[in-house]
Amino acid sequence: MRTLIFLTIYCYSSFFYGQQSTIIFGSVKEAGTHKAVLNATLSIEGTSEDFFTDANGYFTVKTPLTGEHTLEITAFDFVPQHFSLLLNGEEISLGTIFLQQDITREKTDNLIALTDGDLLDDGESVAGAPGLLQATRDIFLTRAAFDFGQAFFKVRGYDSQNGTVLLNGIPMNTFFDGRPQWNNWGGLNDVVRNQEFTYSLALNPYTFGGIQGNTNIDTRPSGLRPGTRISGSFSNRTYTGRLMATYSSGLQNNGLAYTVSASGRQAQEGYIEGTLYNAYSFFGAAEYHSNPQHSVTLTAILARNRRGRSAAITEEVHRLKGSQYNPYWGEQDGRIRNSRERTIFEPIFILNHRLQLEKLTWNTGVAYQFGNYTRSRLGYFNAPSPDPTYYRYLPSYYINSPIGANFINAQLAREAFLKNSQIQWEQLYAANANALNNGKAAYVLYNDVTRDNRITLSSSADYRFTERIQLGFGVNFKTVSSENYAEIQDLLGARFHEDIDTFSDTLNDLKGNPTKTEGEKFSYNYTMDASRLEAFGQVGITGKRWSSFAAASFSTFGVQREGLFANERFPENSLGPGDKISFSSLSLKGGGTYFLSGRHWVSIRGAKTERPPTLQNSFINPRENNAIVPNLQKETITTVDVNYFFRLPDLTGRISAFYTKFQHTTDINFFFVDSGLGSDFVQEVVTNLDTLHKGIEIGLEYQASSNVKLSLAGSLGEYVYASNPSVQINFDTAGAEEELIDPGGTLDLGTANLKGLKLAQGPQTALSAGIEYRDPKYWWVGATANYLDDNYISLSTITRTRSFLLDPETGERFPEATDENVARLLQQHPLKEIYLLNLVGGKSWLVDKKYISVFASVNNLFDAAFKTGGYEQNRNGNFGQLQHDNLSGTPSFAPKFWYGYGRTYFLNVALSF
Amino acid sequence: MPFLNNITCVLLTILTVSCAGNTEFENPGQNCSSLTATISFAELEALFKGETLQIQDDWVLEGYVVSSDRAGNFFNVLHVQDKPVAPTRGIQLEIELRESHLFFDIGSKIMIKLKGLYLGKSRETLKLGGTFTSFGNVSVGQLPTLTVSEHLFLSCDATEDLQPTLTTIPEVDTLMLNTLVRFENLEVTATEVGQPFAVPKEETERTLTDCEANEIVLLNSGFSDFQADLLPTGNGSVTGVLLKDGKDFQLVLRTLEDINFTGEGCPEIITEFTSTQIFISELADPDNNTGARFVELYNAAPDPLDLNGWILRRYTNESTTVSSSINLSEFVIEAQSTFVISPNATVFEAVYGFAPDLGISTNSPADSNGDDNLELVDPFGTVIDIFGVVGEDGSNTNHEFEDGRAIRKSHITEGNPTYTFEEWTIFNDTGAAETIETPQEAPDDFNPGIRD
Repeated sequence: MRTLIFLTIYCYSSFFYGQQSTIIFGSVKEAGTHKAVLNATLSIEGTSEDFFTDANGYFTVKTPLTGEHTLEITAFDFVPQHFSLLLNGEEISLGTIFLQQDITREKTDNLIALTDGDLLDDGESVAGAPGLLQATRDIFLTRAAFDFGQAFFKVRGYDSQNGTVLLNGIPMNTFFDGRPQWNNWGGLNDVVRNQEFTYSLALNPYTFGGIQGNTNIDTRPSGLRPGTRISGSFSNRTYTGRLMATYSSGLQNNGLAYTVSASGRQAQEGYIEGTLYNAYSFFGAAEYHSNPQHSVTLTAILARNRRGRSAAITEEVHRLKGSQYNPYWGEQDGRIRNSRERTIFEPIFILNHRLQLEKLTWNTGVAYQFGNYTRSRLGYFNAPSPDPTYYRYLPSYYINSPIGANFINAQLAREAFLKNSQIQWEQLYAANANALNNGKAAYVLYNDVTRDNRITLSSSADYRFTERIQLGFGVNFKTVSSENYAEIQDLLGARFHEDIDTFSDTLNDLKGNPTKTEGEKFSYNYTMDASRLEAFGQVGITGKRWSSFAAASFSTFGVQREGLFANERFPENSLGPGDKISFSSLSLKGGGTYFLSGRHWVSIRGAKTERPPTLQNSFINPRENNAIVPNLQKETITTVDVNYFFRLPDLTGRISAFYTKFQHTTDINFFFVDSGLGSDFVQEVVTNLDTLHKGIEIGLEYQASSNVKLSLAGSLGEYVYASNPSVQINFDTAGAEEELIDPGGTLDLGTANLKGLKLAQGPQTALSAGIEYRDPKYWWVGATANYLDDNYISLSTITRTRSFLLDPETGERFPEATDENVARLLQQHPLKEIYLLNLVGGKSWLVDKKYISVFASVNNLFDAAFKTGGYEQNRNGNFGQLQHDNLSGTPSFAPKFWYGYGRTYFLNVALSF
Repeated sequence: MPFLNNITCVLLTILTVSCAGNTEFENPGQNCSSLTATISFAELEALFKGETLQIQDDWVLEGYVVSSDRAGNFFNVLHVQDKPVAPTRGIQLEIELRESHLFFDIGSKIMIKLKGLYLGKSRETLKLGGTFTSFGNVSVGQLPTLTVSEHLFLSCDATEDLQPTLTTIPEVDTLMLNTLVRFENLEVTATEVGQPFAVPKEETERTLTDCEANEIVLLNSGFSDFQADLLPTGNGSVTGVLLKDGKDFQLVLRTLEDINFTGEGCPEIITEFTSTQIFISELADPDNNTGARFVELYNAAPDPLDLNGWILRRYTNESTTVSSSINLSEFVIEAQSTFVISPNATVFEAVYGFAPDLGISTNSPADSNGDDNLELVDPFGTVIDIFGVVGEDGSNTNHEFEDGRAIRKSHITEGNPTYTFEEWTIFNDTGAAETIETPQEAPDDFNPGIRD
């Protein structure tokens, strides 16, 4: 029968195109057990078309390419195999191919542990999301994910919103920041390992996607390895212990397959002090194949993740307390209590239908996701800051005093800080118990809550029109209704909270009760309704010595804020619906590959894409009013990359060059600033911001012997600002009139001189050399030496505007603010280079038909201290103040830095049967 | 299905593990110290020998907080006295702690671990705290914030009701510095009533006064909550912390409730009186002795008159501006009596045999050579009586008494602000304009002290 089909197709296509295609067939089985491997992927290297094995492990590959090419056979959890074939139109039988279990699979657990570290302070996120790269087999990307990721390296300097993550074909990136939320399926490593990753602009059957690359996480039970797997892990990174168990039925004769999985992760304290970790996840999916063509899958994912966060600190604090110091926690009841926890619990339910025909794969899904994203915070109202690193509490406050340095008090402050460097919860309760306050809270532990309801519909089809032409179509619609509010979690012994802005004595909720108690919403409350409809089409064409593709996407997007509190500072535009923001975007991409031979090929790809700004960059101050960034623009991205691939018998690799321009981007920041025009808490709106990312990527792998592989990978990039953006500041006008920067509540600061300055997008230079030894007796070890450099911290934009030069006392330019002095003061310095040595190793045993595997890794073996990133504080917004603050060498408003982990380990033991 | 048992076990284990992250925390309750005092305020003060010092001994001082920054009138400071009632001493604690009332409110009993703190004095005020350095000199300054909890502890004893020490402005004493005091019957000085407590963002001194016109400074912060409130009228009690700046005592309010002006203002004391029954009764320029010149005033009223604020002015010759004047304040003119003013008391007494009521210098209004004009002015600026015509030299006019005498006719009982010749009898050396040309000799032709 199969032969018949084959012949039919063979004749049909030959007839149609009058050319000889090559047909390759065979079957794939697991070495040792001789079980058929289903859903193994076969592809000719350099092309985008994939072929799969059927339920019995049989495959057929058809290709119009001619000459010597490499066929790659990959399957999830198996070691890939490559066959060098001469394609000349004659059919090739490969017989039965036996794939070896990949004993390095636990490596990805290690990666996920790193991804968990991708958790930073409000608004200072450096999301590089190495998770996207989990499924890659590219040498460079593997190093980027597993090694450079520790130092928040970002591939090509791109933010993670440039990669689309799909869950069973449903796009999961959020509207708020455009990024995927990995914690929504965190801890379910066993079931999210089956991923289809496409790098850069390559076609992805499920999405037009982003320019960084796209991955579809396939959790269909039929695609997961049947059996039970139980594993336990120990680490000193984000969690100390993890327990995980998964059972997959495999596709049963009755057409049913199901999987259940659960995990728990736990830490009283991670590598950084006070960072508790408490997460549990449950997964259940059932899949039913009514016939070989149709299948329906119902998936439920419940992952709850609660973590204590950590802060960026100044060098002064680092010198006193070290890299693991975290000011956010303090002791209470003899336990760690972190004032800034983050809890994510957003369950996902997905119903999928899949139609699998000979030429057509059609996947349709609907997903419903709801739940809360909660961040806690300690608020203080007419009370001293509870933050032990508040600038007035540190030694530098006495050194930098405008009336002269006081070294004695600085020493007193130093000793006191060393003794009292955590939050003093008892003092906060004492203040709240103050008799004359009559139950009114001075300190409130509250939550910033985002409560989302998301519905996503998605349908995509991949149609093999002919063996030369592959067509793809897709449409997806996503609507999100998001409630955003602050909620009192704990009044810390007080009876109520007076819901006012203490700076202007104005009510936050003009129509509500002015006093709020535990569990009540306060401070701000609004909804954000957003939706996006996207349709895309794509085509891939393969010739004898070339292949090419093109894709287009059109989308419409709309968002509207509705205020639920009337804010006394913004009586006009705080309550009720605001104006709707609408954008339509058109994106195009295309590329081609030319095979110099089956061992050498080059490709060029380009794209011009448009996208609406993320929600966080569209509304100036959504917590308080409906105001939209004036002349809000959609972002455009223009990118091109050129790649050279080679597959020599012992040496394989890739060299790529890329050039990408992001244009018309918008950025919004919030801070208190002493600017040249006055002091206030402002929202800074930066528009017309362009950035340029260019560089070279290299990945080489050399098979030194049958057991030893050497690898070399690196990226030399330059990521810079490419425009001088416009800067506007906004502030409320409820304060004392004489102190206002401007009575209108907004001020245009002109442009900021950013062009040519470096972006804070992770290390711009990264190199890695690795060695891996795989012993035939099922154990392996690997080591990588890594060098990362040219890493810059986020800039303060307002100090690069003209307002910085002005003396707020006189309104005139500071006489000393010469171009030379200003340039010296604002000069950008890279962070110190980083050297990291990482070790990994594992062994597995087959005992009584049960696999036992052990995996261990040690990162940063030499315990090197390093900074991963940071940001300039905006407080010193005028030349005079910044210059004075810098005189002592320990400025009060010095840049704050994130410090990387020292030597850490991860140990995993797994049992599968 | 054995695998389901396995899975169930694992799931249960995971659930158990995940419940470990308890988010509930107990209210730690009152956090107080059971330290006991080991040094008194007086002993502490005795340690100070003129130089700021850092205390090296493990002493504990106990005291009661009397100040509060709740209303923003105090800033980064705590004033502490030794006893809640009838304190004997107080101290100023300088701490870099905003909103310190949340932790150390009025009446709190606090225990102060002294070791490591700096002790000093600025004039009479005893201070504890961190340091302030200026040109290498160390004085007591603010104690860094995170250091405060190392030294200041709330006592487990209950908060006491403070009893302000009742005192009066004249009785205020440096021993009361940094303690809570109360004054009764004070009021805001008349010129400042209705002004704001303080100029915005500036420390502002206002004046309180008692009914005896004793004054004390009321010191207000320009950052206080009541800075823009207006200083009240009325009279009553004021409570506050007593400070001293230089030699002036100052009172600082904790909140506006410390001022309780419900009474009537002090009765107004009238010290200036007018009368039309006082006038110039005799002017003398003896021909034989210029030293025996005098001016005689007469009070025709049946009551004595306090001359507080009265002025006698002289316009020399044709001058239209005051040439000289005599302030008659501090004198009283008796009922139906004269008041004699002499420019030369010695000669006067030698000539007339008794002392003048007021002796004054030559060239004064009492020393006219007969051609000048004189005005008698009451405390309110009203001219009550006049001799001559201002702007007109008396020579050869009806108001010349050169070498002679001008005497008010005896039936005149009131002053007259318009010169009326008919009220006068005038002797001189010219006899012009119906005056009598008969120069007069002292003493016989004159009768000072007697209303003719």
